[in-house]
Amino acid sequence: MTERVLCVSSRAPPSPALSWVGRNLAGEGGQVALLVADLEAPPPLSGPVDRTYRVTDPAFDRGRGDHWAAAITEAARAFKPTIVVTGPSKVEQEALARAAAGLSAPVITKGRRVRAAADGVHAERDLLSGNAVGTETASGRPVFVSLAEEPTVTGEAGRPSSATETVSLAVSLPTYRFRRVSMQPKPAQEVDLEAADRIVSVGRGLQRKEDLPLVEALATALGAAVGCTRPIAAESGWLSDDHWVGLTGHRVRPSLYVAVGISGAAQHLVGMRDSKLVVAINKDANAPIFDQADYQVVGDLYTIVPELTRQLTAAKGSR
Amino acid sequence: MASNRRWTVAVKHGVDVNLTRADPSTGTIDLAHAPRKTSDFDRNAVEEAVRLREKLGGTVRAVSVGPASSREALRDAMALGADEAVLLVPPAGAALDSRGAAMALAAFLGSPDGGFDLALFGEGSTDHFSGTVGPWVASMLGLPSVCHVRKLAVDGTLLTAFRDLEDGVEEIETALPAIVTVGQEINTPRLPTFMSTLKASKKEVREVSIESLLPPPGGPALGPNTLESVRIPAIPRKRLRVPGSDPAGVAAALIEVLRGEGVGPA
Ligand SMILES: Cc1cc2nc3c(=O)[nH]c(=O)nc-3n(C[C@H](O)[C@H](O)[C@H](O)COP(=O)(O)OP(=O)(O)OC[C@H]3O[C@@H](n4cnc5c(N)ncnc54)[C@H](O)[C@@H]3O)c2cc1C
Ligand SMILES: Nc1ncnc2c1ncn2[C@@H]1O[C@H](COP(=O)(O)O)[C@@H](O)[C@H]1O
Repeated sequence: MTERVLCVSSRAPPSPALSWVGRNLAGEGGQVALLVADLEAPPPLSGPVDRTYRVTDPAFDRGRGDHWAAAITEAARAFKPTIVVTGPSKVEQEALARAAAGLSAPVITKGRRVRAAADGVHAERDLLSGNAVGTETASGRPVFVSLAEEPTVTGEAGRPSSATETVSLAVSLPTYRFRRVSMQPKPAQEVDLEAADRIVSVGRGLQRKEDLPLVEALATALGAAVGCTRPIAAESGWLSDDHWVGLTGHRVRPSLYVAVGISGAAQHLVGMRDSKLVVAINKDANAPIFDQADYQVVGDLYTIVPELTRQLTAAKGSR
Repeated sequence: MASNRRWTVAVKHGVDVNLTRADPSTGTIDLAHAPRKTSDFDRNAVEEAVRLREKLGGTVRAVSVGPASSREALRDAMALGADEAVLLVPPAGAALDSRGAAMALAAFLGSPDGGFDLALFGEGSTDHFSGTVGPWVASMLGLPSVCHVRKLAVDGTLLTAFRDLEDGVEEIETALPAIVTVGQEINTPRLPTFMSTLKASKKEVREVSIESLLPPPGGPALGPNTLESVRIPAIPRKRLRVPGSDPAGVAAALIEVLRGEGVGPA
């Protein structure tokens, strides 16, 4: 079965890897279209895309999910896709849901290994907050899919575009009042946890932001990056989002993961379960994190962590 | 001060992810018979609605889509302070996915009976986490959706909301009626008291059949996406307690262990 895949990338410039996801889904003889909002620069014409739909309305706001939904709806009317695929960003997911609603189309969000078959579109995804993994199948067409992670793999380098058709798209944008009053930018990325070989992660066992240096010193002594749970990043704001591990944060796979003052909620465990070796430090001997740890330290992080740092540093110095 | 403001909250009675166990012989989970509870972020949504009522007056209505057992989630919502509850009941035996729930909610909230000033959803359900239901309903009703809201305020028909995006926190101003989705950061839900739980257990849960809202054949099927080969990724762990009677001893023992595992001092 060949597919007509509409790829939607809200990024500027649009993700080339997403077009390759589309190409692979389309199959031999399928068609791939890319929807972009490239208001200034002409869209890139290389890559595996047969047609580019380009939104040029100056009122279009690439930070708005409802604007993207309007564009997807219009592009779908023109292209008649069997599959619509977006990246993982919050705006893209909102757009996907809003656009799918207009067609009552089935949706799979946060899919991995997306595959099209006669009986439907299949994707692997986390279920039960990461306690399980399953294959979700959406039957019928069109199916709307968003990816769990920003795709990175592009196809054969330099494969020329089979066609270079660009179509301008007129969209009818919503008219209700909606205004961005301000934007508080987040700090630039500090760590790349996915790439870290060792991670010391901290949770709500830490009482105060002023105590963070305790954990940072341990990380330094171990040559590790600092990670954290959702509350530390999203609620307290003590660390930026790039430190956040879990279902709604980063998936990490270090050779050593030290969980400090972390209870071990399912939504956190799913982010760290691919770690090779797990050490947990928690004062509650019944904390669920201990079931998922290779080495369990029952104790107060405020006494254990400084002592551990001291001895690690001393050991280093004596070599 | 009398007020006719209507705060509506969508609450899901989802699978309790912490109590669900896989069948050891197959490694799979029987989702249809798994224990259930109120989806986590929906409790934050109820709390936020109750705070709006405390400030601006009006009524908090909790709405759930599901079989009779979903009354549990509505009772929870009422114990947390919701005034009334509506259960949208699917045809007997029908399975329901996020899309089906969204279609039923949109049909009800868009009916004369379902009107609201602000409708609050979780930004994702704890069991399925599709994140689609809030924006889907907004789209069907032609309303703005503000997702991942961490703080909000209502002034007349103006909603101010701070939403958490990947690269920053945006302050959005939009007109009511509108839909927001929230996560655990927006508030800490109050604990239900014995009295509030008792009172909630006596309140009525009104039932509305989805077929009356979305009559077949006109209404699209609630037909669910199917889930297959649900398995638990089991990672074997050693689960060894690090010995030692004082911090110095424990630290020394742990460093020994780390050395042995090849992950010693940097
Ligand atoms: C849909 C959804 C998505 C979510 N996504 C994520 C996610 O991506 N990542 C994530 O982390 N969470 C996520 N959560 C939240 C998750 O459910 C938990 O609330 C969170 O992980 C708890 O963080 P914590 O372990 O830091 O805090 P807590 O659960 O409060 O645990 C603190 C721990 O510290 C211990 N402690 C306290 N004092 C000390 C001390 N002095 N010494 C040693 N130990 C001490 C306590 O015994 C306790 O075990 C999500 C939740 C939902 C519903
Ligand atoms: N069956 C349901 N009944 C009521 N509300 C629901 C239902 N399913 C989902 N929701 C709402 O939609 C939110 C997001 O769910 P989901 O899109 O499945 O991640 C939930 O937090 C609820 O607020």
